Amino acid sequence: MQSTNSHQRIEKARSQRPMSLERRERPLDPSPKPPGPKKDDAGPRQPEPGSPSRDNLLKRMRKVDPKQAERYRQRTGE
Amino acid sequence: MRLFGIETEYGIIREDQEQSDPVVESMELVRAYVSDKFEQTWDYTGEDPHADQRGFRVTGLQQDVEEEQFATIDAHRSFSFYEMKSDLVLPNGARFYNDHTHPEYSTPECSTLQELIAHDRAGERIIQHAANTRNAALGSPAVQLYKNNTDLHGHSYGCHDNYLISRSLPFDQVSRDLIPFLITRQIIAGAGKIGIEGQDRPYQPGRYQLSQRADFMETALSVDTMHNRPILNTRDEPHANPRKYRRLHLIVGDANMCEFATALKVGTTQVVLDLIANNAAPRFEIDNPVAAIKTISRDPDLKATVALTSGKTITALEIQAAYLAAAKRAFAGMDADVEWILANWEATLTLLERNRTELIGRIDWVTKQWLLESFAQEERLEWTDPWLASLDLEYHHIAPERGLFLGLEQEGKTYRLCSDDDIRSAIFQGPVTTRGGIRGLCIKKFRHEIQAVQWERIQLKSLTQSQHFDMSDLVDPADVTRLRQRIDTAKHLADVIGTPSSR
Repeated sequence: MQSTNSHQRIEKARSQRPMSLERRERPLDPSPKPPGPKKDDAGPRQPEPGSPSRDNLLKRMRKVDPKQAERYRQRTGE
Repeated sequence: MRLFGIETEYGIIREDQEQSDPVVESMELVRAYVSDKFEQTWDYTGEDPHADQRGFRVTGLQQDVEEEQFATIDAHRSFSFYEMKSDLVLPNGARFYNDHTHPEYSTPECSTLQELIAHDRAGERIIQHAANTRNAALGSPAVQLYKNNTDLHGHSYGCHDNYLISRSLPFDQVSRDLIPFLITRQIIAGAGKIGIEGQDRPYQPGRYQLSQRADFMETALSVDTMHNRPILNTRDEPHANPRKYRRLHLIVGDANMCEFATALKVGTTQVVLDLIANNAAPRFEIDNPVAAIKTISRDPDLKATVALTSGKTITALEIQAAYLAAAKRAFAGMDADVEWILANWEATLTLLERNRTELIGRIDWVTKQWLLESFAQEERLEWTDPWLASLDLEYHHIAPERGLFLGLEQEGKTYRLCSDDDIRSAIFQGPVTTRGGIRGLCIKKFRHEIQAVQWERIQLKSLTQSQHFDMSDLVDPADVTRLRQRIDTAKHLADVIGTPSSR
C-alpha cells in the first residue's frame, strides 16, 4: 500500500485539477474525420516506441492460442 | 442528485492447471492485494437480495438451490464462509472481494463520469496488481484475469451499474419507461461477442453480436440475478435511507473496456432516469422484450426491427434517437457532464449509421468486430474458426502485455477520458464529493478503530450495534465536503459522530 506522503501528494495533485469531462475531450464529431485519441495518455504502460502500428497488434493476436477459449471455463456468476 | 457506481465480476483462470478451484483462486487473489494481516471488515447484516422493488419479498431465489449445493461442497473446506469471501474495503472507498467464484471490484459511489471512469479503470489495475503478487508467489504467470461476461460455454457473470433514485418515483413507472432504453442501450454499450449461447446451453460459433449478456436475458422483470436473469432487476437493497431512496441495480449490461462506452452507458442511463423522474421519457410498449434484446444483439448491421404491442415495428437506433430527442428537450445546457453526454450520444448514433469505423476505440462491439474481421482476413479464417473466440476472450484480458484492447490502447488508438495520473490517484483516493470518498478516508485514517463497514454505515469497535457512523442520508456534495473537513481534523472517528472516543 502507499505511504502517507504519497497519499498527500496525490490528494494535492487531484485538488488542483478540474473535474469536468469537458476539459478532456470535445464532443465526438459525427463528420467523417480521422479519430483523435489523446496523445498524453499512456494506458497501462507507455506506448511502444515508434508510430502506432496495426502490425504490432496483429503480432499480439497471432500469439493467442487458438484453443484458449475452448479451455476457458467459469462458474455462473451474477 | 447523481450517485452511481459499477460492480464488475472478473473471469479468473489458472493456466498451469487443467482444472482450478475458482473459490480458492478468487480468495487467494483478493488476499494477495493485502501486504499485512488480512482483516475482515465487511458487515453483511442488512443485505436482503429477496426484497423486491415491486413491494414484496420473495421466499426464495432460483439460485438458492445452487447456492446451497455450493455451500454443501464448501462445508468441508478448511476456511469459513467469511474467510472465503475475503471482503476488503479499500482506501479509495471501493469493495474488493470474492463473490464466491469470481473476484469482484465495486467502485466507490461516484457523482461525475470522470470519477467513475477513473475508478473503473483503477479496479482493473488493482486486480491485475493482486494477480502479479499472486503469480510472484506461485513462481509463474499462472493466474489470468478477464473483464468480460461469459466463458463462451453458457456461463455468464456480471457487470452491474447502479444508480440512486428517489423512492417517490414509482417502480412501475421506472420499468415501463426504462426497459425499451435498456433493450437498445447495447448499440452503444455492448462489448461484442462471437457466437451465440445461453444459460447452460451449448455455444454456437460464427455469428457476431453486439452484447455479451443479451443471450442470458430470460425475463423482463425479476429479483433473480444468476438464473432467470431479467432485463430490469427488481432487487430492493437501497444501501441508503429506504424511505427516501431506491438503488437501481442493473444487471443487463456488459463490462466495457472502452472508457468512452462506459461513460456513455452510465451517462445516458442517468439522463434517462432523470427523464423518467420528470415524466418526460418517450413511451414504447415492446411486444416481447426478451426476444427483442436478442434480436437487436444479433444484428450488427442495426437494421433489425422489433415489434411494438401496437403492431408497428421499430429499430434500436430509432428508439435510442427518441430518448435522445427527449433528453435534449429537457436537459440541454444543464451542466458540463450532461452536455458531454447529449453531444456524444447524438454523435455516436449518427456514426453508427454513417461511418462506424470512427467508433473504433470508443465502442467495444465495433472495436472488437474490426479486430476480428482484420485478423480473419489476414489469416484467411472462416468466421466459425475457434481462434476468433479465443481472440474475443483476449480482447478482455487485463494484463497490459496480453490484452488486445490494452494493446490497442498502448498504440494510442483508443479514446481516453481520464489520464494515467487520474487512474493512479483513484487507486488510493475516493471521490471527494461522495460518501465513497468518506468511507475511504475513514479506512485510511481510522482503520484500527473500525469494526465493520457497509455501503451506508461504519461500525466502530467501541460502540454498540445501534451506535454507528450513519451515511444513509449522505448524498448532498456540500454535506460530504463539510464532513470531510471534520474527519480531516478529528483525532478519532468517534469524535466525528459526537460520541466518546474508544481511547
